[in-house]
Amino acid sequence: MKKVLAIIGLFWLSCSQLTAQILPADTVKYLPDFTARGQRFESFNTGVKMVQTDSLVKLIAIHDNIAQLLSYNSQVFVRAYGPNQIATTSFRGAGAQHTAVLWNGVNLQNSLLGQTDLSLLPAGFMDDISVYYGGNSALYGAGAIGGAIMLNNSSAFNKKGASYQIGMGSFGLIQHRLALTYGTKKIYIKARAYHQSAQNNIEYHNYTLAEKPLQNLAHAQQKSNGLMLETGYKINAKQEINLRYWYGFTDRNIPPTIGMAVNNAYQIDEANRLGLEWKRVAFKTRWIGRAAFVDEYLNYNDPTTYNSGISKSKTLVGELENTTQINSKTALNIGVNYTGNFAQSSGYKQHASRHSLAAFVSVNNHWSKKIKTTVNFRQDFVDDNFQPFTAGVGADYKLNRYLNITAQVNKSFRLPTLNDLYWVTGNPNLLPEKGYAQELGLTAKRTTEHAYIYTQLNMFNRQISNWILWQPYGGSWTPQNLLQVWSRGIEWNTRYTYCYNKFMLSLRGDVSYLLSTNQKANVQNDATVGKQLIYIPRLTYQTWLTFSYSNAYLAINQTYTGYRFTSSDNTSFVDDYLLLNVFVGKRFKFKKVGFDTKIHINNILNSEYQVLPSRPMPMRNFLFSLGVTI
Amino acid sequence: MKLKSNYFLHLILMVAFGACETQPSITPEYPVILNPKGGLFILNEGNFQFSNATLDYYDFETQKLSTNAFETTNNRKLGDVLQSMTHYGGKGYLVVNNSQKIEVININSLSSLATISGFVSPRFMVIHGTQTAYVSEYYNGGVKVVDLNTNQIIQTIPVSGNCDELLVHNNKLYVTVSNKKMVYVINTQSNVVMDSIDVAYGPNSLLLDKNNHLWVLSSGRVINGGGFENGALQKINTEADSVLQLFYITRQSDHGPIKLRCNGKKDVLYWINKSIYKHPINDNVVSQNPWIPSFNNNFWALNYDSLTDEVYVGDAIDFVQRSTINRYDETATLRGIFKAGIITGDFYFYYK
Repeated sequence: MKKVLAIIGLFWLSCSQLTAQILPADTVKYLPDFTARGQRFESFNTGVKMVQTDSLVKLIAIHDNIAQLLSYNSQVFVRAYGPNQIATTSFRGAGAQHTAVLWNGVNLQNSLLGQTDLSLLPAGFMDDISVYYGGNSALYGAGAIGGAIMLNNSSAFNKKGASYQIGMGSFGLIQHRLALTYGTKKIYIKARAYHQSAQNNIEYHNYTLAEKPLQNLAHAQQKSNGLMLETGYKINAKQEINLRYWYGFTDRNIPPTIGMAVNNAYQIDEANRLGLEWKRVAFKTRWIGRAAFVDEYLNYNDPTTYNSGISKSKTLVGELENTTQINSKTALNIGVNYTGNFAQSSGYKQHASRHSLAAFVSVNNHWSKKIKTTVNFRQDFVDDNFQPFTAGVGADYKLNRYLNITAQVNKSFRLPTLNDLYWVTGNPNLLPEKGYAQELGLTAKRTTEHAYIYTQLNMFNRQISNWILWQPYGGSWTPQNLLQVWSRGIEWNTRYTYCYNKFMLSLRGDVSYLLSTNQKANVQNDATVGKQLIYIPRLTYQTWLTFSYSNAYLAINQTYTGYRFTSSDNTSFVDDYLLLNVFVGKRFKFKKVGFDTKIHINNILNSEYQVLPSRPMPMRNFLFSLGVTI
Repeated sequence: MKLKSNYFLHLILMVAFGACETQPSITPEYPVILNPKGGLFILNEGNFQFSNATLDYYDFETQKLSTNAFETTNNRKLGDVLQSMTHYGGKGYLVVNNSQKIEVININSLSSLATISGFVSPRFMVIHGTQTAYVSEYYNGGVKVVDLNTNQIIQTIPVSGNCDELLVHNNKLYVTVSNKKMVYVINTQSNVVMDSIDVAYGPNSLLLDKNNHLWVLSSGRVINGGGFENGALQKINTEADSVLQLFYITRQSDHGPIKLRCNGKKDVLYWINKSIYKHPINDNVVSQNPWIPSFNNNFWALNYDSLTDEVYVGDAIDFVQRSTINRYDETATLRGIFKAGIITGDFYFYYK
């Protein structure tokens, strides 16, 4: 398939003409099987809805963490526990543990918790942030039932530069960022560092006190440091290696929820991540080897309740994959993966470990100029047991110049977390969760000399069985394979871009309506059958209106999140909210020094809102940012 | 432009400025109308850190439930984890554990009168005399002494451990400590710990029977690293503060035996140990057979209505939906079922 569109990120500063090669990103990508940095996730995923963060949003989000970025720039529901507090994700009505977060192909889901706290991951450390809607364990590995978030770094051969940015915001936010790049044809070194501290003393009305006085959130201070060091070496024309080291440290106080007088708890997270990647790209075959070591430390401490615990997790990953273009119509990807999880926690009787081996195969077929299909298969073998065999099948049919129909079905699974299995009251007999999903998409696009329009409609349906829940059924709090969850919904994404000389206007709307209900009663009196799972909005939408002229931009973002039930029988809920954010920025050069200034006004309507019950979120707030680049 | 972009633009603008979801209105089924003879207050803990604790009012004559009566009356939320209630002199005291406060209400109108704050983790409150109350603190706050005239904490009696239910009798304050093997005895004249009674691990609730014997229920525990200690029911002589009888009880659940309650004549005891158990005070054996068996129910609230001679049992189900309340007569026959708030933890009967 040589005619596939290689959609490149939107270069908003050089939007002088629109061609089939330069189109706005944030669209479904049809990449050739072979691209220089291509991973199997990108090339063997026909029929999958994938949205890449465009370059303007990356610029806007330079001071954000991944959770903040996704909350205004994706259809993933981000469950934020407060400003700079823990944040997890829900894809299409699934749970936080159903999101695979892959850093250069290495899964970062914490083996104890099965989830990733996205508030700890700075967006500015990533060169590419892409969101894959819908799970597919056969491609992304265990855990990816709801969807996957790909965080990638790119190499920097032949690039040189240095930049410093300072961000100052409301509630005592100060962030320093430094980035240095030095690359020749043969070798590169890239270093990024950041330091952030914030008071997070946001205002909220305390609705448990008479007159509901306006108060400042106490005990919410946060500070974090991070370092991303990368280096790469071109061994010869075909081979290169990349070595990346990522350090993250966050110390935060846990604020009281509305209604609590004080909270003295704090949490420290520290992570060391090391990734090695070897690539050999020849005419018709490509090898990628990955090795990674991830070491995470989490210390939660509440001096009042003595409810505290330390958990440590170490993960070792080795993966080797090969992609071969068998003929002009067929490409094959095969590979093996080893993942070792080693954990210790104050809640365990002893250390826990798990060794997983997996073999995977994917095949791309271009049946004709109009039809492309992918099949994925994967078998995991964990400790002494075969895990559910997983498979995915996707297809893309080009109806005409403007219309495409896509379809994808997959069977996915998730292993119980180490906490589920090895906690003092854990359950060693848990079965893996299984997900069966189907998806149908219709896309229409059209490009003219100055304008580009794109719209995509997706319908999905998914059953997750053996959903693990900690419940006291039977008298003790223990995880059990309790729920059968049926999620179904519809997503609609539309983009319109108009370019004229240095002027660009861009409109974007993303709507999602979904139901995610429990289908199985567990006990007498259980009123949850057919009811929406808690903390999952049914309706969400986002709109973006962006103007840019030359090196200046104005972006207006609107994010609506429908009400979320807080009780499993759907008798109580947290209110819906509408946020309006305005981002303004300008780049200019003075002599040889580049300057990058921006002002963000978040929540300009001053909505008082909560994502999760009684955990206040910031009302109107500001961010000023100044960057210097040489 | 040849594109029919206006159509899409229109749709986008519709989404931008039009759409939002209609939220269901959750208003109480019945307005708060208090029966002049009194009624039943249902204490719904709500979820920890959600601040969704609610107080329901149940009229035993009309059998109507006014949900969320505190918020309806006072136009503000009650707080986080409603633990217990007591009343004195026309005032109701609502102990809101994780809001670290006690709400004082007019018990005949439910309107807020005052808020007593300054606690660490208040659990239970008992009245002593006409102007003093003792409040147990779960997390190392000891026992706080409150002046009911000023609604101020005036003294802290240091008691180490997780103080739970309290009882005053004969100028002695009995304090259960649920992470220890003892009940402390405090002299209410000096407010000093004067004695302690050794009991089985985890005393959490206590009451006086018709013979003025003190009954203390212990939960037992799972020992970290394996094994467990049994729970127990103890009968204590309040003159010598010595244990007269001790019945070991096998733990049936994580929490073990909890929430000791008695009938109106104070000669039959009830408690939760996953199922509901019953024990006439003169029996020499504690029955192994539940009085009301749990079929995977999560019984979390229990009390006896001495006016109607009915036992109220709350089932918290999955702890994230409205509880089911079952009413039984003394023969364990189900007399009625209704729904209360999230995690019903206790029933407080108030009759004039």
